[in-house]
Amino acid sequence: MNLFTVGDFYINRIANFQSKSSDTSIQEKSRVKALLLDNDTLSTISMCTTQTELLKHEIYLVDKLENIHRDPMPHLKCLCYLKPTEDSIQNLLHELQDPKYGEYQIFFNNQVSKSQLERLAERDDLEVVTHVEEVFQDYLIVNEDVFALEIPLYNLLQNQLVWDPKGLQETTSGLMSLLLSLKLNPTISYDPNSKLCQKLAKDLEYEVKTNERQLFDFPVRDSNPLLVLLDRKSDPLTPLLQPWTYQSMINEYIGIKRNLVDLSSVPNIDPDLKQVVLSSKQDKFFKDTMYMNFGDLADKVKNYVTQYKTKANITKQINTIEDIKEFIEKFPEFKKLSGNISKHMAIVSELDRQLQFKNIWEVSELEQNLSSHDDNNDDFAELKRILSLPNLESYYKLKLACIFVLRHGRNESRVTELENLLREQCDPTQISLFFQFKQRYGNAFKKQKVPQDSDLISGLTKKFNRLGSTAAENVFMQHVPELTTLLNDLDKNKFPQEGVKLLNQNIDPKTYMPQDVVIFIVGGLTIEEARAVHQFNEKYSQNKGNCRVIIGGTSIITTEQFLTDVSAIKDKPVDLL
Amino acid sequence: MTEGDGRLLGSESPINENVGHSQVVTCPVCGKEVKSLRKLNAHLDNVHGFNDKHASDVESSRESSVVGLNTHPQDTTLGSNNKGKIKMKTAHWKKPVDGKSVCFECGHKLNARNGLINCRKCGELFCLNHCKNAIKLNESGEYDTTTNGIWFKCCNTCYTSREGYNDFGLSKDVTSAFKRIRNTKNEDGELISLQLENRLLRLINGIIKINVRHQYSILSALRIKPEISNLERSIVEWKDDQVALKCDICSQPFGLLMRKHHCRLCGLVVCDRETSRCSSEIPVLNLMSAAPDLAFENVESLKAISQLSADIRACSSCLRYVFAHRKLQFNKTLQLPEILKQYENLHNLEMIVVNLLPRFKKALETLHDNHPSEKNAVHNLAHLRRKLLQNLALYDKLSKRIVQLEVKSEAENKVQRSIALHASAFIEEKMLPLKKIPEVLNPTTDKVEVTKSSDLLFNNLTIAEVKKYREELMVLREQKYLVENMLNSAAKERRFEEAISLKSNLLEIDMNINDLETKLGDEGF
Repeated sequence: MNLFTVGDFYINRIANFQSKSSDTSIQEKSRVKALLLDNDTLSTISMCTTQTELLKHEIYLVDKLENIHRDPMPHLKCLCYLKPTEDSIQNLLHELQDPKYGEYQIFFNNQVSKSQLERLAERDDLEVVTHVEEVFQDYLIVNEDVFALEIPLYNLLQNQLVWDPKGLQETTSGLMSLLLSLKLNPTISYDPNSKLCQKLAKDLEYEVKTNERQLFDFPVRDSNPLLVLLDRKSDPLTPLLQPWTYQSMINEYIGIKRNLVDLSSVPNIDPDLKQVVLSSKQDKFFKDTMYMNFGDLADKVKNYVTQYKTKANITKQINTIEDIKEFIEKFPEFKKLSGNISKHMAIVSELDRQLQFKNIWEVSELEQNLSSHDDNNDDFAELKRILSLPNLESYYKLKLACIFVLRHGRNESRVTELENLLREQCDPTQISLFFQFKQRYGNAFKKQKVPQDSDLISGLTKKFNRLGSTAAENVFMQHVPELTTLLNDLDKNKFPQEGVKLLNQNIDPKTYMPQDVVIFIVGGLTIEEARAVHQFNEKYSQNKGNCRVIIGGTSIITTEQFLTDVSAIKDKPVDLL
Repeated sequence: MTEGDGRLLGSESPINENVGHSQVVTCPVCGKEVKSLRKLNAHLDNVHGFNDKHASDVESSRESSVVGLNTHPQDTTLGSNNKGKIKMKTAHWKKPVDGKSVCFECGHKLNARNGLINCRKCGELFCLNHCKNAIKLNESGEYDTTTNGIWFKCCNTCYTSREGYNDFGLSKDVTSAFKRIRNTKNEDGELISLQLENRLLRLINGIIKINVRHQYSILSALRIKPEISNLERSIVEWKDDQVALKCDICSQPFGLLMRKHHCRLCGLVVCDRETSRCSSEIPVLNLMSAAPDLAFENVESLKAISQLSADIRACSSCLRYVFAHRKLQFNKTLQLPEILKQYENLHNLEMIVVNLLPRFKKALETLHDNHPSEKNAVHNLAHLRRKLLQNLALYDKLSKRIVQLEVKSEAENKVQRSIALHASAFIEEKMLPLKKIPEVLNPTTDKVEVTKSSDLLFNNLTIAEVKKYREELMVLREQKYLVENMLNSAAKERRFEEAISLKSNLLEIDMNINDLETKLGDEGF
């Protein structure tokens, strides 16, 4: 279940498809191919391949379908890779009306409706289309085990309890395409506390059932794959904490979009490095370090530089056959290394600069203490001290307050004290955000936490489970996402006892033993959670464990985005029940 | 039958053999009594921290595998409390040899410490570490996903080779559905376009006849107009323009600035706005040249056909029916743009290099494995290297030429840039490492080769060799052709330094060709 293999498979299929009915005269004349994309597939493609790879497939012309000023190139074969949205279909109809290329092969990244197909077929009176195919990749591949649908929360929900119909539809079809691309016919389970997940689960089941014959016709497996639908609301703490691993820090402080890291705002940056490509698929160094914490990362970069220096020496002394052989083997790697090194140096130093400049070290330590300690005086004193720091961005103050409310909201005297302090430090919009946050999550968390603590045994097991996986972490990474509880259960080859419910009541959760699991978080996924899953999978591949997991979310969120999402949806009363 | 606790796989405890004899069992460690085997297992796991690696497990699993005839080999499945035991046939299990058996996966000797267990499916012997996956099998040890299957332990290979486990990448071809719809629609379309073509033919022929009739008349200008007008109305019935309130194509209402026009082919009332181009007046001559395959009559009889000045108004839909297909076909027959033509050459060169490179690496390999001092091998290597470099130099030049080509459109420009990018990446990847190798082993070997080849001349060449040489010969000839072209152009443009280097290149290629031809002798072509 490596998503990059799936992505490669599809790109290869699109790029090298030989249809029987192709106009041979075109292929005899020129091997060059054109590729037309729309906005959605452009993202999909750029997340899982590079221009160089496309060039290797002899795709020398890549353009947007919506660009109507394309020049006609009647000798080229045109590959269209599109998401079957209304816009794309319209543009495609327009293109077929007046074809600019000699032959068209159309690939849709999800199911195309019958009426869409009919409209296309009726427009194609010149018979330029030689092939139409559905492939299923209506999602973005972030890492080999992480995917995202990239639907902003604003489009997703009407309010925090009700789906926006369009958002629901997009989420369903995105998930459907993921399941189809991995050939999974899943057993669906969901977070029983979340109406959103329940609705999504039911919709998905309906879709799977209706397409069971045509699409989900996979061999029956002894252990049916499991799809777990979770709600961001159930773990609001994880996305609030400052992240400390490489990939998540880049996401948090610099931002990464379609594998592009924009460094142009970095002072004194080399012009070549204004925009760099970063993908765990092509960049082995990044793949090794993306889940490392900042300290380990610094060491690794240092090693990388020394490694580079020794390799640079190799190129200077080639005297024996031995040397030549080694050189031929190592040279391409070496070439890549030199470009890579400056890239990572630039990113890491920018991260370091921001950490210093924004006082993150101090803030994050307190965040972690607040989130993992019980309510105590030392932490609160520290909180008050940091909240009154003059040079700290008020955003971080707001965030600290939110974390406090989330964890220790029961202590009302302190919360009031905190609110007063916050009023002095933050501007009105942030204050209102704080109250929105408090209203939404403060209650929910209180209710959950109390019974858990009273049940001594389950509390202990939980703590124990956590201990096992976090023994080696440092003070900045004390907090462990809720998700690990679920992963721990999976690790023991059992269906999670709490927090998830099977949609199909006929399956006995006690005997169900999931071996392939897809986790999906409505409301966005943090890279810290992706890291937990990655570590789980690493263990699988090393020890030949029993279970493989892929995680995804409606989007990949940063702390700031999570907080703004709170205010993005116009609030209705929290408890409709 | 799946109610066995999923976690409890393989033989876990020595007590298992007591299954069925008594419901109450005693813990072998602390002596505590528990109610069922399942509970015992949980007890062992939780209280004593038992897991797969524990020696007592090993003991029992070995016991069962050694005996083979054990009446309860399947104590592994503890879900047997009410359904009775599943007996698995153990004929396919490998029997361990004391002290000699090794784990099928890691190759370690199997002993009491690391375990000794048969994969329940393939029957090979494994250590416990490499046989802890779960698979559902039926009683003859076959993979079974129905309710007959019960969880057993299996090795990693059996685990991952289950049907559908590593499968991915569904795609669904909908071309046939697409074509079915298209065909039904296009049959109608073809009829319409035939009809329209027919009308166009009659109209143009009629216009030509009228023009021919009046070509010597002084009043021709006066007479031709009404006659054509009559003709037009006889071809197709015009729609009544009194009832036409809006354009039949763009649906805009007519008005002072939106004049009504009749399409001469279908008779509909359409506008002629610049923006929508619902209809346009097209000179007859243009129409005729756009559809040269239609049988226009007596063209010769019109003396000055170029003077034919009549226009025909047609709507965009009719024009599309009649001409879109022709335009497409015409475009396809157009000459390939220079840049694409050159790219084909570039691609051929690339293929040559890609084919040569593994040979070079192999030569390097053999040289490395044998004695580095061996002369022939060194020659061979140097020869291959030179050949590669030659080809790459050619590639480089050709790619530079492509980059310098003048392009006619933005699209060609894009293609050009992509090719340049690809070419430079290719060169960087393949050529630089070759170039950097110092010329230590590169004494020119031409003379040596000539003698060598003359030795070979009377040897019997194998078919493979002949094939290989022929291929090389073809490659060289291709090269020669390219170099000659480049030489000519260099000479024309008076780039003499380049010409000189090209000439030497050419000489070398010629020499190689001669070599090969002598080698091949009568086998050449």
